[in-house]
Amino acid sequence: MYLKLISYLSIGLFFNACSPKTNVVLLESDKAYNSVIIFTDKGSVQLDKEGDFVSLHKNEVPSRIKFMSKAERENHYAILFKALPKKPKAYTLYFKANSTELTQDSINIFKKALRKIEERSPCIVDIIGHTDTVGSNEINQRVSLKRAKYVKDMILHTEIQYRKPEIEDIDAQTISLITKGYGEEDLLVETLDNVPEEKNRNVEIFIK
Amino acid sequence: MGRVIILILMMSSFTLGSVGIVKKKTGKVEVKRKNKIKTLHVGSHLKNGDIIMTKEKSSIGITFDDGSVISLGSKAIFVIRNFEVKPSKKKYNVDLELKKGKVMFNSGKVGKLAPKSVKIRVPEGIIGIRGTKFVIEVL
Repeated sequence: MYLKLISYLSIGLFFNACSPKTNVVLLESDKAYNSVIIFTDKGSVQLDKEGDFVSLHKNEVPSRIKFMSKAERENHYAILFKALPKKPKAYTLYFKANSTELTQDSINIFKKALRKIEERSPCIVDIIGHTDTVGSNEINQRVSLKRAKYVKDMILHTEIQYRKPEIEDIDAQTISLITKGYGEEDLLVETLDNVPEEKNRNVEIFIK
Repeated sequence: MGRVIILILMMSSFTLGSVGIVKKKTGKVEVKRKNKIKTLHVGSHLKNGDIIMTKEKSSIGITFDDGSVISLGSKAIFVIRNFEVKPSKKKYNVDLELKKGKVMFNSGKVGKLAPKSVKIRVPEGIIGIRGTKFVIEVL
């Protein structure tokens, strides 16, 4: 109750007193870099702390950076927080040396991924192959796609079940499996070129 | 309870050119695509050029191709001008526009691989990201 009252007063202060056109608020993030840069005709401003908040008006310089507390943000943007989908879930599978066979650990991870696909459906599943930096970009691109297709076949050979959603207006009760080969472009472990790294030889199952 | 087995559809026509999928929805949300208006549902795929319009007391949650997630509040107009995150081709271009209403954005892989390729247009300017979760509201 107390929090609600505070945020109500603050919203009045922020939004009525200066009648802004567009507000931008930086939220909490789990990422290393969290900032936005706003460009207008009259100047630019960078927000880089959680709760930083700026108002933009046409033909005016951006407002000074203000602060919106976590409680205010959660209250004022409750609907958006609620509607925001869960972040995709990624599972990484590793292969035995010089083989298309998964390691024992990875077989268990694969089973977990299957359950997550059921839970998230309807969903898009990217199956992304990765390589280390040994060899040419072109060959690694091809090898990574091959790994991805192998994992896709594994998924196709299992029976996927899913809980029928309670929402009636489902458009597509399907799971789309899409294979991609990223080659050495998106390394799990950053290395220089031509460095063998078994952790980089993997397939990522990315469930959206 | 109510468990069914389904066939997996792969790359069928409606997923071609898909840049995202509707994961959550309340109320009524429409998309304008090639001058036709269509109602969006959970599971609908979205394409470049789509204009998403949420009605009163409605909201939508979308997951994009690279794992970026957004939500729109009621009476919002949001345009997917272009969404291209293709590490295999080193092609990155995310061009979105909020004409009206509120959007919450949490960046996916593009925030790590090519944050500078992201722009979100608002009536007063352009917002660029550096790997970010934030809200914009056009009043």
